[in-house]
Amino acid sequence: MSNSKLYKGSLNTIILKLLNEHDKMYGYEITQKVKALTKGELNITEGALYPALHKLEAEGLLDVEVAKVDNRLRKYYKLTETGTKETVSKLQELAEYIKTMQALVNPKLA
Amino acid sequence: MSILNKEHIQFIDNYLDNSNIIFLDIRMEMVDHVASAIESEIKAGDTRDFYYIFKDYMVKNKTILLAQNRKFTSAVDKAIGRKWIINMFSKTGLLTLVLAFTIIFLLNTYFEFVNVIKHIPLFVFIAIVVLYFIYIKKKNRRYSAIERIPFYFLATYYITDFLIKFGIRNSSFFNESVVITILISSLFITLFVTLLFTAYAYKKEYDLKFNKLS
Repeated sequence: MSNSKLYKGSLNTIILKLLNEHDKMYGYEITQKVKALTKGELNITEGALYPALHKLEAEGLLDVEVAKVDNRLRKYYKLTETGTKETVSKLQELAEYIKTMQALVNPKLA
Repeated sequence: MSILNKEHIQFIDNYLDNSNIIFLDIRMEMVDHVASAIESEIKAGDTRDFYYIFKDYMVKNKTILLAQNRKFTSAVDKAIGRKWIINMFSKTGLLTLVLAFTIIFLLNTYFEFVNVIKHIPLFVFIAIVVLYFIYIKKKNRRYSAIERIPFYFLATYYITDFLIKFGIRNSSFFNESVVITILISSLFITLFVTLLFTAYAYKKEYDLKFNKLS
């Protein structure tokens, strides 16, 4: 994925956060949404996104819905109940991480 | 309105199928991703023919797409394991264990076939292999989880066989206790049966997701 390896550890949290804000999303839509939100700064490749989505699905955090759209089948992902709870916890974890990094990198702003 | 027509989608599907992405559940997501990326190019003003845009996309992304295929299989294996464990500890799993134990115990009481009991996992395994080949012959579409499940069957069978041949046979305690031999055989039957339930659940899930839509 991306322009920096620093984002790699946060990929699952990014996916969960996006799905928490939208009822359901499909893979390509997620990549484009992230690109748009970060103004092209973060570019998630399919090689990173889909394994992460499948792993979250296997862990029971995501549920899948298949629909026929534009002559093809499309796999939509949405949060399960456990996934919603996990999103809250992951976001808290990320906020703590950012706070800690802020304190280390720029103590004046922390 | 869709930009890519059925022929374009079929072309992408065939290309990925020929690139060894054989399972429909994996391929259909890749087809959608590639098609969405091409449509996005066209919407952004690319006026070239579909095949040129497709070719450029594949030159740039094929390696990443194929690598994703391998990672998917590993996620599927984990998901199967998870569902299997849930099935083993479900009411059905426990009931299977109790039923298997009771039936073998009663049969042994009346017919005394203690030597046959040790080979029960083999009989169950053969029955499952026959069922699996009947299923393979009948179906046209290939789904990842259904075709990964036989690896679990094989692993369970070989572990069973190993335990019986090298562990149980060498232990005087196991040899002397018919009840324990029956219990172990019942446990292995339960493992096989719950794995069969897992395969059936996957088949139902796939039928629901894919067959009704395409």
